[in-house]
Amino acid sequence: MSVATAVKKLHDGSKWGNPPELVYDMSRMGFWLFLATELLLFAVLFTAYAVYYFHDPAGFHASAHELSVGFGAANTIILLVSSFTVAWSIEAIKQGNIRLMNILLAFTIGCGLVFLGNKYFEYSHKMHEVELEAVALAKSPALLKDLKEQGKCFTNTAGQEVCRVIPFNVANIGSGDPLTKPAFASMFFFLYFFLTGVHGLHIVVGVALLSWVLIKGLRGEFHPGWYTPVEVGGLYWHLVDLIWIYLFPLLYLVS
Amino acid sequence: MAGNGKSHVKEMALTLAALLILTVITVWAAHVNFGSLAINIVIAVLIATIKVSLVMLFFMHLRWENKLVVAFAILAIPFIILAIGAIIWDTTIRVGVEKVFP
Amino acid sequence: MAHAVAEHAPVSYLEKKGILSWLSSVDHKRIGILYLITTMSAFLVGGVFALLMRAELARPGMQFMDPQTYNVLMTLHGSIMIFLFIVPGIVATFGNFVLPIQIGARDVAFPVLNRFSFQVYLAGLFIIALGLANPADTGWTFYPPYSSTTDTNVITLTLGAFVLGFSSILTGINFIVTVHKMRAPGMTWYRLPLFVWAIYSASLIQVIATPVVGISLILLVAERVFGVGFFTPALGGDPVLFQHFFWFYSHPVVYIMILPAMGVVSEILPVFSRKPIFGYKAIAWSSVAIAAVSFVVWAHHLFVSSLSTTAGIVFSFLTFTVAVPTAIKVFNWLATLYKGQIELKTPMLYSLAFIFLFIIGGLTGLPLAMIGVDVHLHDTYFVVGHFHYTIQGGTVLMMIAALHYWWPKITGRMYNEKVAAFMFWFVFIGFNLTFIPQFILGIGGMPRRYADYLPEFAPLHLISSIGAYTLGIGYFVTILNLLISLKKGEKAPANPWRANTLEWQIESPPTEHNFHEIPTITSWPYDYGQKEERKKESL
Ligand code: HEM
Ligand SMILES: [Cu+2]
Repeated sequence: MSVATAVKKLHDGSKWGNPPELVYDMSRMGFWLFLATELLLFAVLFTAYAVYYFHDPAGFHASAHELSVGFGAANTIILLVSSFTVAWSIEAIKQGNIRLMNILLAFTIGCGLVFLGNKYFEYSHKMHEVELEAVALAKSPALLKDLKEQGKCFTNTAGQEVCRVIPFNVANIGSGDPLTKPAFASMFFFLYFFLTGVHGLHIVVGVALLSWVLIKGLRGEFHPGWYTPVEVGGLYWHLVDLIWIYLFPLLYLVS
Repeated sequence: MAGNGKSHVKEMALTLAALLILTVITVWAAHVNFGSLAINIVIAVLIATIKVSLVMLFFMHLRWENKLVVAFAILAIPFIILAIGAIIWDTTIRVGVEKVFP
Repeated sequence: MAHAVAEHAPVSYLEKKGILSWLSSVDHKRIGILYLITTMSAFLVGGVFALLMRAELARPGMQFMDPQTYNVLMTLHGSIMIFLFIVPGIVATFGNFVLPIQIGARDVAFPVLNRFSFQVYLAGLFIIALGLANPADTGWTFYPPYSSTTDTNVITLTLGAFVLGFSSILTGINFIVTVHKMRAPGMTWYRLPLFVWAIYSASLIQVIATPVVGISLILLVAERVFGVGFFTPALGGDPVLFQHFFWFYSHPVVYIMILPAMGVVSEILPVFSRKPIFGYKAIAWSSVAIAAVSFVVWAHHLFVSSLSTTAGIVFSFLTFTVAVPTAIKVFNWLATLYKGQIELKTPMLYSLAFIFLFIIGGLTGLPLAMIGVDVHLHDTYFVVGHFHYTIQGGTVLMMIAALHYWWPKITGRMYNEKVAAFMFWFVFIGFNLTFIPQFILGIGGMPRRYADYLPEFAPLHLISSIGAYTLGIGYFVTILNLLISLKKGEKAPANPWRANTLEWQIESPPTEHNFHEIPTITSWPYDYGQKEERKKESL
């Protein structure tokens, strides 16, 4: 690793006594191990999803109907493209092209923010009353009965029985009567919010991480002999993409 | 460091193209009935797995990584299969499942 | 693997004073000591809670507390002992202190991350402490639906456990990478001390199992916060799913506890019987095998929780297989002792006790693993006896052994051997007096987690309580003896036990950067006995 040793002032990750090549190697190893833990974490949620799907397939289909495939697909494309750009930014710094790396990182961060914006619209839609097929509520008979008594259920033009409910009713949190006033209209919606919520949290962390990398990049700390933080930040961003690739069909396309 | 290695941008652009095409296929496949619910889900998960493999191989450089890093990268996979597989298997055959969840 | 050579004149790692210099340090030795202080404090608190419970249980009827207080004490005892003491126990304390030196490194792979792990641990401790105003009463297993309906502070306890899990994951990653990448030249895998193999295997489990329970606990928190009923049958949830997730972590976690203890035994036995370890490769690989097998047995905790019969049979069979690699270790230890020149120093006493007690712990696991028998024994004192024989008779005893064994290295002082050896007998006799009656109680039908019992159980419960207080005195004086040696003990030589592993080849206490020069390794560390002299020359 001649570059870093030749130019003394360069950052090269050797601050804690290990040569940069070793730090680069160890960081990739360690970070992949960390990603393994993240994958297992989501595996648990997918297992839970599968188990409740098994318990109530009809309800899941009916609930999933409420999600907009358009939003989901748009977010999929955003993540795929940003995954590409962050991978490209690593190639750029390997070739010493700092400017290109910074531009690509900034673009990736932008994609992350657009994704979050989309999520915000999606979420707020689910926090208002929507028309839900009654089968989606079959597992909460008390709630269904309550809705019927309030006159919120009727037969729509397609001949299905539907009810007007709020999928995620924040006002019901802590209501003390989860049977007729659940915070989430169905198990599907809880899983939808929980899965996308945890995933969204990872997007936020990813955006923060990449911003930190970008700031370092703008300060000119990276060069072909030292770009470990870019690589690690990129790996994290890809993880977010990986998870979404499974979430998209499971949540949006099961109807 | 791999600093002076050759650039992989071209492979990565192709990967992106493949991923986008597979996304279209995912959405299309969701509207087609392949016979049964189980088959539909298996197909959706299969396509997703192909996409994930592409991301891991190219975007995340596993194709060019040393063996040790690859080993750690795939370490979780058997355990994920174990957890998902065994727990779903038990759930579907559990005594009383049909009573609690009629 | 060139390392920066120490720039300063070598000084002891203990030289810098002041609490800030400790908390800001990234030195693996100092972080190990910080863990030692916090985990041993947790042990003390958890131990006091246990003694309070035993006081109540000494006689039938309620004497000192109401049942609710008992439930709270039981929950805090379990949670503190598991999450705050025994899981970080040997791995984070002696793993941190000894492992980098044993592989010939100046520090772990990621020193700053190591400090961060400890800070996260402190955060977890703090969160758990926040909940003490109205402490949880669910038992350390947090089974829903009770855990989502009780109005005690389940959220703080589960969140705390989640945060502690995060700390545990980071430590695990750090050690795995350290073992792979920081070994000194010539330190091949088969020249690694067996302690390193054990910590490596335990770290693998930490990394793989912990996220599973982490997210399950968060689901439980979400269930409580939103009133969802994710695991509550009345609201359409599936409580058995929680048990699956919980034990997917919590069975492997018992091997996070026991593997490092087995590692310590494998270090101590050859040193104090002056013989090479018997079956090095078998012991090394059985650690890895145990780590692997520990992941396919979890459902043996669900035999009476409406687990399907088919799954029950499969998991019952798989559970038996854990006994194989475990037994391999035991036989190799016994073979190591055979015809050795055994020196009954305190660490050796504890190690021999470990073998004896752990055999009982392991063998009582087998009836529990048989479905039919477990239907009778599940949730009785038999299970309590079983896991105390493994966890306390196994891990806690080896933690004490490790403390004595490495004390001269860590502090530079010798402890009072007479007191330590005498107190060992308090611990050993007290332990058996406490827990053997519990097996009999359990078979007789005494359920666990009860504050009161039928009169016919009274005599055995009284014996158990007497044993518990004997044990308590044993631990207390043992630790006091060590602390006194900090002031009164004579200065320790570099290698008081004539051991071969690298940590004994450097000063006591070690210098800041461990080695003046990174050694080149030419042989394994177990050439005791006749070959010993030859080995000394080659080092
Ligand atoms: C030969 C090896 C072992 C076998 C076959 C075995 C088997 C079992 C079984 C079947 C149970 C469930 C009993 C029930 O709840 O009805 C159990 C519980 C338990 N075991 Fe083991 N075990 C073994 C080793 C260990 C070790 C090494 C540890 C700890 C270091 C351990 C710690 C525990 C704990 C903590 C529980 C009770 C958990 C609770 O319900 O709170 N076991 N064991
Ligand atoms: Cu177990």
